[in-house]
Formats: sequence, structure tokens, C-alpha cells
Amino acid sequence: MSELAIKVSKRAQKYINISKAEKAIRTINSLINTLRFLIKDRAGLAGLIIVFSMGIIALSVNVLPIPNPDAMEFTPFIAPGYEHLFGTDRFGRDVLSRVLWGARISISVGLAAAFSASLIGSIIGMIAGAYGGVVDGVVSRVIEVFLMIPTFFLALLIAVVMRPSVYNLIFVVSITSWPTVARVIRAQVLSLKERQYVEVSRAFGASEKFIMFKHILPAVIPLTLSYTVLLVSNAMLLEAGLSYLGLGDPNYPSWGRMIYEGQQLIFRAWWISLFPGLFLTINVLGWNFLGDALTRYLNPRRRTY
Amino acid sequence: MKTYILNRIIGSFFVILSVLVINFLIVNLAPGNPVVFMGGETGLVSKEYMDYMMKKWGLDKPIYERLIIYMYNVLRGDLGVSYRYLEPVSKLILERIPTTLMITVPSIILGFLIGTLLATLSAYRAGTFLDSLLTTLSMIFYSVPLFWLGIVLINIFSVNLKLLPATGMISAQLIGKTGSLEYYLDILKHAVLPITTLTLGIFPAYFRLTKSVVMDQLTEDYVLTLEAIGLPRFKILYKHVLRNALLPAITLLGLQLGFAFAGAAIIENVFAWPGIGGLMLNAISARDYPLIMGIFLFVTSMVVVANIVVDLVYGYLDPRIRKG
Amino acid sequence: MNYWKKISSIIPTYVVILLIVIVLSPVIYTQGQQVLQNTCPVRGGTLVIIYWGEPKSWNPDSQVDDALNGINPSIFNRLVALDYAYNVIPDLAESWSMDPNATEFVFHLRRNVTWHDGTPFTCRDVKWTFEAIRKFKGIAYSNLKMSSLQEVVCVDDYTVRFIYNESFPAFISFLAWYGTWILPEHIYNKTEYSDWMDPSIPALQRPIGTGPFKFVEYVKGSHIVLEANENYFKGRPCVDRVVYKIVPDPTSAEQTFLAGEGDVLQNPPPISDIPLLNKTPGIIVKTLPTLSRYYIGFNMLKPLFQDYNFRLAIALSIDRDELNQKAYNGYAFPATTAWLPGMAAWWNPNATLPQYNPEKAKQILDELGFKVGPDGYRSLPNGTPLELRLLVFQGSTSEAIGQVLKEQLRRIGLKVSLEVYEIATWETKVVKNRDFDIALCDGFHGPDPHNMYMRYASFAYINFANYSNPEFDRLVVEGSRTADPNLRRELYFKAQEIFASDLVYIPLLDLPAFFIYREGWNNMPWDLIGMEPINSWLRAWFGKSLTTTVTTSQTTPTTPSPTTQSMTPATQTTSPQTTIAVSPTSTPVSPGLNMTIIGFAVGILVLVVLIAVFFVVKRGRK
Repeated sequence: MSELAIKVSKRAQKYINISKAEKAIRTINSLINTLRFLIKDRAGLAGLIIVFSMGIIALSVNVLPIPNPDAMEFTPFIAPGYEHLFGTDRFGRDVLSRVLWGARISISVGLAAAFSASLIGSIIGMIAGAYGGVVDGVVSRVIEVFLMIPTFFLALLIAVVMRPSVYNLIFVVSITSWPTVARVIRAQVLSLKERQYVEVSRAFGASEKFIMFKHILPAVIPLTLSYTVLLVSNAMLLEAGLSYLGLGDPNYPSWGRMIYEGQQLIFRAWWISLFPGLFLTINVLGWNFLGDALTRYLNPRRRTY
Repeated sequence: MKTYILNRIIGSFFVILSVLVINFLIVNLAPGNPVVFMGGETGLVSKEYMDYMMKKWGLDKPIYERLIIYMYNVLRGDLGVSYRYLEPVSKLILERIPTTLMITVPSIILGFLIGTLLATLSAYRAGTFLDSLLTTLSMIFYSVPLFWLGIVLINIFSVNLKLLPATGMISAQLIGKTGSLEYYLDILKHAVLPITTLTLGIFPAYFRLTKSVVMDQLTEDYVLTLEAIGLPRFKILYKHVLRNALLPAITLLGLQLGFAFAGAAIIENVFAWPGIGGLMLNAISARDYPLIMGIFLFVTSMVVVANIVVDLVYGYLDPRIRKG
Repeated sequence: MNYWKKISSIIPTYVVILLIVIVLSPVIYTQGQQVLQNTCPVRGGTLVIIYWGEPKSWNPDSQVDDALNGINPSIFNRLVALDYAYNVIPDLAESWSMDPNATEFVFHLRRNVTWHDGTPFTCRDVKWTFEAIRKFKGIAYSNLKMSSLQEVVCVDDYTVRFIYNESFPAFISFLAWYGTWILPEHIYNKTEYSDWMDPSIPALQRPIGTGPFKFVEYVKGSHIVLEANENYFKGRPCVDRVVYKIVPDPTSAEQTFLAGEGDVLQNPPPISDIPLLNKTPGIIVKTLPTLSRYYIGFNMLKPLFQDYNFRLAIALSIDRDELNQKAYNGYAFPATTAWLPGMAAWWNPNATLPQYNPEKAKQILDELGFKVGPDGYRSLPNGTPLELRLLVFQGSTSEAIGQVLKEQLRRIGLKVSLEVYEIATWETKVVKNRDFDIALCDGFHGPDPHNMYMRYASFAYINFANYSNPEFDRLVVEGSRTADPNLRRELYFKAQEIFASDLVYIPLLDLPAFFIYREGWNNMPWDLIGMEPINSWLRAWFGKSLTTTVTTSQTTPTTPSPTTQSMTPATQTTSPQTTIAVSPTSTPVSPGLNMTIIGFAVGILVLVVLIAVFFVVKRGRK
């Protein structure tokens, strides 16, 4: 047995023998390391700050001392000033309050859609990569079809025929964004399968299932994670775009919808569309910073700027 | 090489076929009856008229029958007649192509040039304030929702400074004066804001791509060698590094040109630019089945063609993958 | 069939009434008025209209085409027409009469009318047009009940008789409305044409009509030019040319108009911009009520809504003034009666709806046992939480009305979830499947009160709320076959009272029509109620208006009851009709960004950029 094979098999042994506690400590350690990297990386830090503060706004918005975002209790079209920092809209609702509530919608739609998209994408990608052959052929073709269709039109079409609601928006966004994830994961699984330590493990008689769960899955998860974070920003933008075209849920104050309502009033009340857009940009920026930094950390070969 | 091209073409055919079917099913299985739009004010009140229109447009047939008829017609090159405009779909699409390309192509090219040049500059000055500024700017424009950016630009340049027209393609004063210099200048004036918005939205993609490739290239052995020889740095950058780094950017350019036909639907909506994207939005909201399916098919075909072309060009430029 | 059962059940009463009618009034109901020749204080010039859409074809009767419909009155004529107060006025027919059964209609045509190509207009054109509408299923096919039209007879060259199988008093109003433009028989009726849309028909490229203007040219997507018809039967138009410039985008149309281009803006801008236009010197904005109205209907298949008091509570919670202010900038007309005041002759001012009274609404709900929970929302008497589904279709005003309604119901403690669908899905959900609690609808309620039958009778297709009151049905069926206008009015007045007290449908707002044009134009069609049809530019002239040039002394066909709103000629909208929460002093309307606030916004942007720059990576070469 060559020296390399011994090294690899030792590594494989290590995976099998560690206890549960050790595993937990290892996870925590890796999390702390990630965080440490992110804080050192300035973009990562900026992303963290933005994402955290937006998260705090989204979580605490119902206890903040702001008016009910749906109550039409003020004079319409008050310009931004001391009483209403961001002014009021045509219905007499407080724009600041609606913008802050919008964080909740935007983030929850973004997270839910991104997680479901990357979950679907990773599972399909892994199945394609693991089984190969006919399955891979079919899945690759499906992915190819999806990548060629203008995504926005597809999302639009599905959104139009369904009832505009938060859940359907999540569905639309995830159904149109999984193929990119699936393609990357499939490629990663294929390349991992060819790695020497996997081959050695296979030579030692490890079952395909064992290889899949012990070697390939752990190596794929970080990649999935960084993709999920990048998908969040995409999902938020797509949600805003659909809401902007009037396909969002009218029962919740979403940033895209507020821009949609404000655009018609652009000659009269610029503030209705300006502030939600500003918040949306900052939020998306934060998630992009975070996603890029994570990619740099988890996947140093693929740098993005 | 030949089998490769053949494979690609068969694959593309499969893509187009499945897009056709998926699209047909989404459109036709959706709840809602397009006849409601045809009746206008009179339609909703009279059941008789609605039934008559259903029959006239063949909407009373079962869905599989309609699918087969549609596919047969598409094979013969007939995309059907739009419910709303009562004109052949192919004619409607062809009419809109120039207007759409008028804003998408310049902005993609501008975005490509600005993105790659700034990225090279940024890589050249890596670590300086300029680098940080450029990187951040590209990140901000990468994150900004384009429709909002368009609205903000309208607000600044049209509402307040009154420099540029807010929406549309031509001023009413010049309607009917085709051919005069004034006419084209007016169109140009209307196109400035949409093109600016799109360019700002497109350049970050090139910036990010090119910068990462250039940074990678700068660590390659040949650069170190050239540096050791004593070539000036920017010469290395522009003569050698950029040439290699451009390959992925050109791929992206090709793919985006395929998508250029889709128009930037939302941007066209913001600026009321009468292009394919706007046509699609109208068709979707008016349930114009033949038009929706026609545009979808057309745009997808353009993307597929662009993909094949890009592959061929890539193979030509990079001999390593010519066999693959 | 349900429909026939209903009809047969009321036949005895109908026969009795008919007998009374025949015995008491063996008269034939005749209408008509003198034609006023066109007089122009100033002649010449061009009227430029910034127009919103382009026609699909030049056949005005073949399909729904709202863009062409706005241009039609310049090129074509009907037998009778509607003016801006929705009265039937003479057009090609000088006078007309209807027999007491309302089955036979006789029209006396004008004698001095020629087509644009010089051929005289006769009864043959009329006969051919209506036979073609029947044969090729034109738009008016179902409006005119073509399936019961027995015959169109030319008594002589200038007298035409329509014979129906059943009574149809609404015929004349519908004849004045959509898709009934008289076409030149000598051009269309040739054996080589397959139908009236055959592309080889020359009139489909260059339309030929009898109207005040002749077609000159049409450049697709750009403009339409018409020139004055020297031989028009009411005299030559005052202007030499009418030019329609097609600008589909409302914002650019508005900008163009503000920049001084065009004389009439016929592409209505967003309602929020109307005050801006109104303030601009040299631009006049007028409004008139139309026959379109927004209304909601309750799903009567659900036991909850079968309770009258529950419906009453909702009706009491609706503040129409607030709806008007917030969804329509105060330009609409709050609908306080069962029928539309815009249709003056048929409007019963006493059929009023409950007035806004949220306290009473809350009290009723308390009495019904709808208790307010800790979240501020009421639950059903048995304790299950209540959430009402309000279905609205896409569109900025309808969505806005939905939003305000949701808020108004929240104030009395009812939780509403708003569902927005595009109209085709809305139709499937609401009209076909009855899958809703409350639905918002808008629609044209004209041109005849027969619309009550088509819209709200229990057997009407679009009666989505399942409104069913035998007495109401009886009245509107009877109204649809009674010729005597006075008797008919009584029937409809009663029907309106029942409709108002049942509260299954609740009218919200009657929509306004905006007329935006430049100062200096006189005798525009909206100023000539009773004289000129909608969109007729025959008498428009430009110049200093010294005195009112046209006396509007005319006898309205059916004597309208005096109304407050509709019959007053176009009122200049100096301020919105109703004033509530909005006091103009406290809301300075800024037409654009004010400079300090630009500074503020730019400051925020710069700050964000700087912070991001500070934090951004400084990664050098390795």
C-alpha cells in the first residue's frame, strides 16, 4: 500500500471512530472559525452587520414603537419630516413602519425560498451525480432546459396563474432557482467521486451509501451553504421584482409592492418608492457580501469580488 | 467535432420541444378564461358571446387536441394569431425586435467594456482605495433592484432636472416625422435612461468575473516570469493577462446576447419602452395565449442558438476543448 | 330551465299590464328632435388629440375594439347615438317610434346624407349592416338580441322597420351604444368577399362612412389623420383636420401634453396627476360621471351572508368618502343610491343605501354575538375565528379600493384577507366557481336600465353573489318588455328600492370621465349634452369664446327627473367633490423633489457607500 493510501485510510478511520461529543465540538469549532474569518474579512463583517441588524428589525418589528403598518390613520401624502421620518403614502399609512415591516416579508421569503431551492437543487444534484448513467442524463437535460428558459418570464407566468400570496411567491422563486444549485452540486459530486480518498475507501470495501454519507455529503454541505446565502439575495430580488409588477401578496407590506405603489405617484410623492428601494438594496448588499465572504472561506479556489 | 455539433443540435431541439410543452401546459391549464378579455365591457355580461368566442378560437376543444394542433402549426412555422392584437404572432414579435435590441445590445456591450476595464484597473491597483471603491460600487450595483434604480433615475433626471424624457420611445411632437435627424435624436434621448439603467445592472457581472480571473492569472508562473524579465506591469496586464481573462467574459457576453431578445422586461415596463419584454408582460396580463407561447418559444430559441454559437466560438478560441 | 320558469310565472301579471297599456295608451311612442345645423364662429385649424391606442381594424362592428370606438364618431354614424349624459339623441335617424308591445321599431332616416365617396345613404345600408351583424356575429349581436330579430324591412328608401319576436324596449338604447355603426352596403356587399373582414375590401384600409370627417391616412403605431367632410349633413365641421397621435404610455402622453403638444389628452393619466394638470395654466380638466361603477357582492351561498344584519353591518362600515379620497383622489362619485345618477331618466333618488355608521355596525355585530378577541378581531358566535376573503382584480384603483375596504372592515373588527387576481382568474373564481366571501367588481351599467336584468337578476350570468329576490326579478323582467317609458320607470324605481334594501350588492363608487383639453377650445362634445354624441368633434372650434354660441335648448327624449349631479353640465374640477380627512393646507403637495430632501437622500446614499467602502476587502496580490 502506498503512503498516500495509508494516509487516506487513516483519514477515513478518523471519520468512523470519532464520538458524538467530539463531532459536536468539531462542528462548533468550525462554526467559530467561520465566524472568525468573516469578522476578519471586511466585506464579511459588513455583510454580517447588515444581515444581523435587518434580522433584528424583522424579529422585533412588532414590539417597536411604530404605528400599525396597515392602519390608514394619518393624512395622506405627508412628506418626510419630524412626525413621519419617511412620510406617509396615498392611503395615509406610515411609510417608515411599512418599510420596517417589509424587512420581515423580504427576509422570510428570501430565506424560505433560498433554503427550499438549495434543498431541491442539492438533492437532485446529488442524485444525478451519485447514480450517473440514465438518471444523470435525464436530470442534466432537465437542468439544461431550465437554464435556457428566461427565468424571469417563467416566474412571471407561474406567478400570474397562481394566487398572489407569500407561499406561492416562495414556491415560484424556489422552482425557478434550483437548477443553478443542482448543476454545481452535480459537478462537485462527480469530481469528489474521482478523488483518491474516495477511491481508496471504495477499494477497502466501503458501500456506496457509506461513501455518499461519510465522504461526499460532508464535502458538499459547505458549498451548498455558501450557495444558499447567495441565493437569498437572488430570491429577495426576484420577490421584489414580482411584487413590483403587482404579483405580490397585497396583505403584507413588501418592499417590491411598495415600490409598485409608489411608482404611479412618482410625480407627487417620491418618498413612497425611494425608501423601500433603499432598504432592499442595503439588505441584498448585506447578503451578497456575506455570501461572497463565505464562498471565499469555504471554497478558497473560487474567488469572487 | 461534427458529432459534437450534431449532439448539441439534437439537445437543443429537445430543449425547445420541452419549453414548448411546459409553456403550453402552464398557460392552458391555468384557471381563467381569455375570452373574458375579448368581450370587454359587453363580454362579461353575456354568456352567449363568451361561448361563441370560445368556439371561434378553438378553446372549447380538449387540451391535448389543442396541444397537437399547436405543435403542428409551429412545425409549419405558424405561431398563431394574437387574441388581443388580432395579428400574426410572428409579425408582432418581429416588429418589436429592433426596439428591444436598441436598448439591450448597447447596454450589454457597454456593460462588458466598463466591467472588464474597471476590473482590470481594480486588479492592477489591488489593495488600494481605488480598488475598494470600484469593488464596492460594483457590489452595490450588483445588489440594487434595477426597476428601482430606473425609478430613481427618472426622479432625478426627468422629474427634477427635466433633462431627459421619463418614459416612452418618441415624443408626440415628432410622431409621423420618420427619417428626420430630429426624430432619431429624440429616440436616442428617450433611450439614454433605459440604457444607463441596464448598463449599471449588467457591468457588475463582468467586473466580478474578470477581476477574479485576472487575480488568478496574476499569480500564474508566466506573469512572474514576465515580471522577472522586467516588462512594465500594465503592459503584462493588458497584453497577456487580459487576453486570457477575456475568454470567460466573452462567453458571458454571448449568453447575454441570447437573453437580449427577451428584453429587460421590468426595465421596459418602468420606461414604457415598447419592446418584446413589454409585449410579454401585456400578453401575460391579457391572457393572450398564442402571443405568450410565441414569445417564449422565440426567446428560448434565441438563447439556444446563442449557446451553440458561444460553444463554437469558444472551441475555436481555445483549442484545448475543441475535442471535448 | 330556470329562466323560463321565472318568466312563465309572471306572465299573467304581464298580460294584465299589457292590456292596461294597450287600453289606456294606444299611442306609439315617438321620439326625435330637430337637427341644429353647425355654426362656426371660427373656422379652420387642426384638432390634435393625444390618443391612447390604435385600432385593430377599420370595421367598427366586427369586434370589441375600444380604441377604434373612440374614433368611430368622427368617421361613422349610427341610427341614434348617446351623448355624455347617456341620453339617446338622433344621428342618422331623424325620428323613431316604437309600438306599445316594443316589438316593432320604425326609424325615419335623414334624406340629405351621402357616403364619403359621394354615394347617397339609404335604407339599404341600414338593412345590410344589421343583417351582417347577425350573420357574422358582430359585437352587438347579443346586445341587440339578434336571435329574436325577425326582420329588418325597408319600407321605403328612408324608412326602416325592425321587427322582433319579443318585446325589447331597451333596443333603442343599445342601438345607440356599441358596434352598431352603419356601414356602406355598396362597398361591403360584393359576392367576391368571403365575409365583412375580407382583407380585399377597400374600406378596411381606407374606411368610408357618413361621419363629419373623412379618412386621410393612418400610419401604424404613429398617427391617424382625418379631414373635414364638406358635405356632412349637419354642416361642415369647424376645424379642417383632426389628427390622432397615438401615445400608448400614459406618463409620456401626459408629459407631452404638459409640454404644450396636442389639444385634447385622450389617454387618461394616473389619477394622482390630475391635480397637477388642473393647476397648469392653459389646461382645462372637466369631469362627468360615467355609467361605470365599483360595487361589492356577498356570497349568498354562505350561511354567514344570508343573515341580513351581518350584511347591514358591513354596509354601515363602508365610508365611501374615504374610499373616494384614497382610491380615486376624490374625483369619483360616492354611490349612495341603488342606481347611477348618471342615468338621470332612470334614477330613483329615494332608493338610498345605508349611510356610514361604524358605531352602529359594531353594535349590530355585538348583538349578533361576534365577540372581539384579544387580537382585536371578531370571531363567529361559536368562537371560531373569522377571516373574510375579499377578491379583487388587478388594477391600481381596484387594488386600492380593496386595501381601503380591508382597513374599514378592520376598524369594526372584521379580519379580511385580500386576494388579487388578474381578471380572467377572477372571473373563474368568482363568477364560475363562487369561491369567495366578498368580491369587488366594476362594470358599465348602461346604456339602459335593462342592465339591471343582465347584471343582477337571479338568472343573470354575472350575478355572482347569487342575489335572488322574486319581486326584483319580476320587476326587471317586466321592465324589459314594457314600452311605455313612464310605466317602465315606475317598475325600475321599485326594483331599485328593493335592490337597495336587500344589501346583497353594495355600490361603492361611480367612476368619473376626465376631459383634459386646452383653453380656447369651445363646443367640445362634453359641453353639448343633448346635441352631440360622445367623441364628436363636429362643432369644436378654437378661439376666444365671446358668448356661448350654441343654445342647448332641446327637448330631451324622455323627460328626465331633475337630478343634482348628472345633469349639471361638466363641472370644472377645482377641488375634489368631497372633503374629509385631507385638508389642503396641511398637505403641501410637492410636484417634485424639494432640494433639501434631495440632499437628504443623496446624503444617505453617500453614507451607505462610504460605510461599505470602509468595510470592503482590501485584498492585495498574494
